[in-house]
Amino acid sequence: VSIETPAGVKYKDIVDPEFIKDLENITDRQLRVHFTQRGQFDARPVSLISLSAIEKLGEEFGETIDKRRFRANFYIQWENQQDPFYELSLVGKTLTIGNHLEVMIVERDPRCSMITLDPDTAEESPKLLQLLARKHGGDAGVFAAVLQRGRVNAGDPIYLK
Amino acid sequence: VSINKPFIERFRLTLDGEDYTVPIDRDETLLQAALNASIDAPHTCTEGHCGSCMSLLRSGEVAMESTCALSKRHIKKGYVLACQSQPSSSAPLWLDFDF
Repeated sequence: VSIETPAGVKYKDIVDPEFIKDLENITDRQLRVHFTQRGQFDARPVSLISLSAIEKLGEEFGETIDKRRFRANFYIQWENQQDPFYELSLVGKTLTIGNHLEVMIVERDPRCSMITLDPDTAEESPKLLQLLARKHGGDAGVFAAVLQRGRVNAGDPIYLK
Repeated sequence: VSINKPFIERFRLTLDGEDYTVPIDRDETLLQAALNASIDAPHTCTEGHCGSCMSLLRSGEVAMESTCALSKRHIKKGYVLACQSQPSSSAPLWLDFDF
């Protein structure tokens, strides 16, 4: 894996000690490269979450949750769905978004502490992750893989194929 | 079994305003001990990545296999990952999920 940082510095390998040192300076924490068979976060190309899921989590949490905490590629407004977490039931199914894009929902999105950070202030709300873990198995939204490329626009319809 | 390993037989755990006394076996993590005691302690990945089991160590000492989900600031303030923590001294231990 070759890497180029936002500062334009290039590294030929993810295990390059200089890259790790660079990341440590940015994050102010000790880091190491770790291979795991499970718990791989942010490892899929496309993520989706519904606004109803975010709203419901906010109700359970007791305050409105900024959707940016979930850093999704697609924020979805489902129609005619009683289940606010409807997208979780779509694993293995294919969605058409807009006229051409087709994505397959490949798995639920296991969340980490990133959702505990306020997008504007970086203030932490660890209880949000605790709630997600205890009430929803730690998952919010889904990951998808692109089956057919296509241009999409905000407000495009989404169909279950 | 390491006979030299510091060992405590139970620890205090706070969750949702309730205090529990949790039995713990050698080589168990604090999270495993809590789950074995049927306490609904927050957790997901159990690998130290997600941070769901982050909790405040109010007293006692632990050793952590991984601290991936913790910043230096967290560690300095005494936060631990329950899934990665084992007692590392015989001092009374108090783990607080209501921090």
